[in-house]
Amino acid sequence: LTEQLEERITALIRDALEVEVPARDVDLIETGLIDSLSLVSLIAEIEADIGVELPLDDFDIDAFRSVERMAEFVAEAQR
Amino acid sequence: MKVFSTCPQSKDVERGEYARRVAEISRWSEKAGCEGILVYSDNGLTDPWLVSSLVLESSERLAPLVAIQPVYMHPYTAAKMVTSLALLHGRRVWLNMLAGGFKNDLIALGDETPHDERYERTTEYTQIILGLLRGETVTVEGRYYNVHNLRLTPELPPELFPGVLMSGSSPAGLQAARTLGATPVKYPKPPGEEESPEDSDFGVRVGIIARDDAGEAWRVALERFPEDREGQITHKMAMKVSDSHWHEQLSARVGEPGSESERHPYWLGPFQNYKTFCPYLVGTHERVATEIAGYMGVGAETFILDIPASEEELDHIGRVFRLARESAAA
Repeated sequence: LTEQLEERITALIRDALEVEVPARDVDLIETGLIDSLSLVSLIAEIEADIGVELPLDDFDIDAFRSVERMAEFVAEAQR
Repeated sequence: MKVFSTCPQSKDVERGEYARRVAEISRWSEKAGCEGILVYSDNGLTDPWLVSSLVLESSERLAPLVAIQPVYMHPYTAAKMVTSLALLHGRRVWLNMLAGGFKNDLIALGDETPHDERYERTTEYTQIILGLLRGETVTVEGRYYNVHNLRLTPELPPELFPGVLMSGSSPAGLQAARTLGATPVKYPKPPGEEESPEDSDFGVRVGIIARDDAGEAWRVALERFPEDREGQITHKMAMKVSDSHWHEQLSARVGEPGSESERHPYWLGPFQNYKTFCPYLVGTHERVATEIAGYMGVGAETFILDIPASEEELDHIGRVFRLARESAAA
């Protein structure tokens, strides 16, 4: 499941943000590939695509640093 | 009672249209009887002093309420702006002293001063400005600023001495206002939950959408500030980095359930969707006026409105304040 999510999120980043993800564990924020504005768009895209509203009340930027971390966070939200 | 509107932000208006929009909203605000108009300041906006100059040129008596964050200029320069605008336009400005702002703006400028210390700095900063504007020779060996035998030229005519507001609802913010003799301004809770500061009047920042019919008012409100998931996500991200007392207080509140006609007028929808920072009062003119009178009853004498959507909106708001005054006087 997490691998499928990683593929979908990688595709969303490519399609919505026009950013090619170098690797699933690359820190996209630290490397400057994603900024806060594009992260907002990406989270909204993920929610619409996966069909889940992510629990963001205690927002933790670390959950969105890499494709790997995003997939884990989304998988947890789906449980 | 003093009512201020708010100037549009350059980030929200098409580049070639901004100056015209500022002039237009200044004229509407003056016609509606506002004392002044708040001009925002942050890293993403045009300079508030230049916008204030445009406000003065576009109106006959409306006073710009200039948002001043110490990181942007030395207090001498801020005082020089006030006295220069007075000389050029023969008009008074108000000062809206800030200690906070967007945290990332401050970090980008190399300023990581903690929350309460920022209020101490703003206090010291404002004391220098006000001393200079009073025509004093100012010497301060402070924690944040050092000036020696500093004087301001041209002198400010006493009748153009600025009114001073202080944004912030934390204990540190209230203490700073008290020290400066400034009016503290807060993003309020509903009137029934607000308490008057011990020793002064205060101001509230609140948006208003009022119509003859509550359903119509809510229709307008929801059309202007629709649910927006990207806005909600941005709000949650912003709350995570903010150290603002009022951000935390307002975010802890949840939306009121109920149908449009029975909803309580106090509404945080625009705040929660990251469209504006102030709460809104929505409903009939009479119902909203009751809420405004409630704030007046606990000592609010200054009201800072949100950016007006239209001249018609200011007409509705004017009606609300007339009713609130009548209610408070009765």
